[in-house]
Parts: sequence; structure tokens; C-alpha cells
Amino acid sequence: MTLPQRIALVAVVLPFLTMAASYGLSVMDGHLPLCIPYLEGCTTITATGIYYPAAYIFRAGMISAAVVFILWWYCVRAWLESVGHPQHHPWIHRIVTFAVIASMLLVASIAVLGEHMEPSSEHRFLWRFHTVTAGLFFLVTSVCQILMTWRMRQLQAALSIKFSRIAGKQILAVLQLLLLAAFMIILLLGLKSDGVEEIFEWWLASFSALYFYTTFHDWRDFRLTRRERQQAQEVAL
Amino acid sequence: MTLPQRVAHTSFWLSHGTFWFTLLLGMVLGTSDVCIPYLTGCISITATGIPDPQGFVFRGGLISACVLFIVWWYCMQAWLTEIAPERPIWTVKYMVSAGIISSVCLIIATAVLRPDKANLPWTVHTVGAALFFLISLAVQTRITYWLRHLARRGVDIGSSLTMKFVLVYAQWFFLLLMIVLQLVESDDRWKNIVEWWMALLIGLFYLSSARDWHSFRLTDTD
Repeated sequence: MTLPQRIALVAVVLPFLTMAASYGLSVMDGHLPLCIPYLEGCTTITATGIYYPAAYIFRAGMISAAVVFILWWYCVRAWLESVGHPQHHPWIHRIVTFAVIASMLLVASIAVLGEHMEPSSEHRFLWRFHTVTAGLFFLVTSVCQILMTWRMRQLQAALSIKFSRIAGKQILAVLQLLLLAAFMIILLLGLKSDGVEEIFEWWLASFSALYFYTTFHDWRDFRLTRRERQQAQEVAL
Repeated sequence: MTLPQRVAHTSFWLSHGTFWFTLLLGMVLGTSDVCIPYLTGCISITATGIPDPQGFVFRGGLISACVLFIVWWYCMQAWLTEIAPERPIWTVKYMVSAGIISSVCLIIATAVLRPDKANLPWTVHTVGAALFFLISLAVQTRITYWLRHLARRGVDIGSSLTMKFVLVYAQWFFLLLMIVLQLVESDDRWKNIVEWWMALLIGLFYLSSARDWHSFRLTDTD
């Protein structure tokens, strides 16, 4: 397995494992209700990382995951610039820059979490900071993934990328777009009810994480090597 | 700059930037004395990351740096596999896994830090941090000797071998000093000085590989 493949795999497994473990621990300790948050919206992702010892796992796992996301975006940039006819793509540089900043915001968002934020009425600034940074992470990451898929589809021939390599990305990008659009409509029409925001949050986080896995098969031959140098030496000889 | 080079640079600057920034923040906020801990041992690394808001920066920065340490070990594994004329012997392969485990230990040790010291799981933190220092030193030593073995066989291993030897021997010196300080039940200040220097040397070891990896990059080999 190549390094970029490991990164793609860890980028999807780590957030899911972290959320499941911290949610399970919070339920066992009686801090959260036992339910299916994807359907009932009974709790937020944030709530699973507030109470100790679940908060230890949550901060270790999610901050690590955010760094893996940054590495994933770096690999995407390097990969898209090396496939087909290698060239500089300013669009991917812009997308990756925004996505990397979004992942840094996730680190900041998770780093402030803990029991010290309770009671919430006395720590409004920390809660606002967490909400804004986490919200921006979700929004920017989803938008970057959607834009990346769209541009890859446009440049499919130029990049010599097979349709099968974009299909999974397209499905997840469309699902994220639909989720974001539906959420905006609900907000604008004032149809928001208890649990709706939480349900959207869980699904959006899942689709976004699953998207990272879509490059796993793309990166089978994308590896760390000194081959370029060796080839240059062979040519010189 | 290649990905492994970026990883080597960021591993050092992020981890030590975090230490120095939280220390500075502590001085500004009055939770620590104005001093140079490398010389006076006025504060331990852990103590810089306990109170909030320094704790936020410390957790975010150091856990992120630990992930980069893990990636650094993967890069080292890939590099050794690529340059070695024969497959690395089993101790080298296991040492890379041990390097990853040492970074996970530090992630755990950092994640359990919290501002209310009375409830902080000190045993988990201390064991995690100690294992990081000990395993890192063992692994860095083994890798350095493996690189020397390759260099003697004429393999192009880059130019950092001498620096790696200096860093590893300096770490062993400080480890022995720490053992002596523990045995004589010395003042915490001396132990803090050793801790800061060992952390610096471990970080510099990660940084030292940057110049070896200038042509080691991600490439589509299809």
C-alpha cells in the first residue's frame, strides 16, 4: 500500500472510529442518550467530545484526522499535477489552499473542546469559536470537494482520468450539494425543527469523510520514489 | 520542496513552535516565569500546556506534530526500502513500527492534558511521554546505525549521517543524566533542563532528514 493510499484510508477510518468510540463512551457514562443520530438527530458530533474520558479520544482522533485531511489535499494536488500531461493547475492550488485552511480550523475547533466548556452559558466565546470554526470546516471542505469533482469532470480528457475514477466522487459531491441546498432551504423558509441541524451535520461529515476514500484506488501507483532522479541519470548516461 | 522534506521541516517547527509559543503565552499571561527553560529548567514542557488558553495551542499543535512524526516514519520506511540494495533486516522494519507507536504514545500523553490538574490522569500522561522519549531514542539510534551500514556499502544515503550520530549520542548522554538525576532525587529544575534538550534533539533528528530527501517525491509510477 502506497503512502497516499494509507492517507486516503486513514482519512475515512479515523474520523468514523473516533466519533463511534467517543459517542459510545459518552453514552456509557450517561452523558448522551442511546440513539441513531443519523436518523433521530438526538446529539451533535461536538457533544460526543465534551465529557472526559470521551473528550480525550475525540480530541486525539479528530485533530489527527484533520492533519491527515491536510496531507490528503496535498496528495491530491501532487497527483493531479502528475497525471496526464504534467502541468501546473492554478485551480487545484486554490481549492487545496482553502481546504487546508478549513482543516486547520477543524484543529482549532477541536482543541478548545472539553468539560471546561460547561456550563455553556459561562463560556459563550469558546462555544461561538467552536461553532464558527467547525461550521466553516464542514462548509469549505464540502464546497472544495464539490468543486474538485466538477473541475476533474471538465478536464477528464486532459488529465487522462478514467470515468470510473470520478464516478464515486461525483455521487458523493452530488449528495453533499443536495444536503447543503436542502439545509439552506430549510433555514431560509424557517422550517428548522429540533434535531434537523444535527442530522444534516452527521450526514455531511460522513459524506465528506467517505469522499477522502474515493482516491484510494486512484493512488495505487502513486508513491514516494526517487525514480524521477534515476530516470534523469539514465537519460544523462 | 518534496512531501517528505515538508514533513521533516513541519515535524520540527510545528512541535517546537508549539512549545515556544505556549511558553511565551504563559510568560505573557503570568502563568510561568520569564526564563529560558533550556538553561534554567524553570518549567517543564508539560506545564506549559496545562492551563488554558495555552492548552488549546499545545494540544492542537503537538497532536498535529505527532501525526507528522508518524508520516515521517512512513517516509523513512519507504526511503530505506527504496535505497537499500537488500530488504532492510527485520529489526529495521520493526523499528519503524516502534517509531509510529512512540508518536501514538505522545498523542495519548498530550490528549489527556486538562486545566484542572487534580483530575488529570498523570500516570497515563507520564508513561505516554516517557515511552515517547525512550522508544524514539531507541528507534533513531537503530536507524542511524542502519544508515551507516548502507553508507559503508556505497549507498547514497544523503549527507545527514554525521549530524544524526551527534544527535543520537547527545540524546543518550541526556538520558543517562536523567537516570542519574532520578537516582539522586535531584531538583525538578535539572530534570526539566534535560527534558527540554531531549525534546529538541529528537525534533532535530526529524529535521535532519530534510536535506537527504530532496529528490524523494510523490510520483505517479503507472
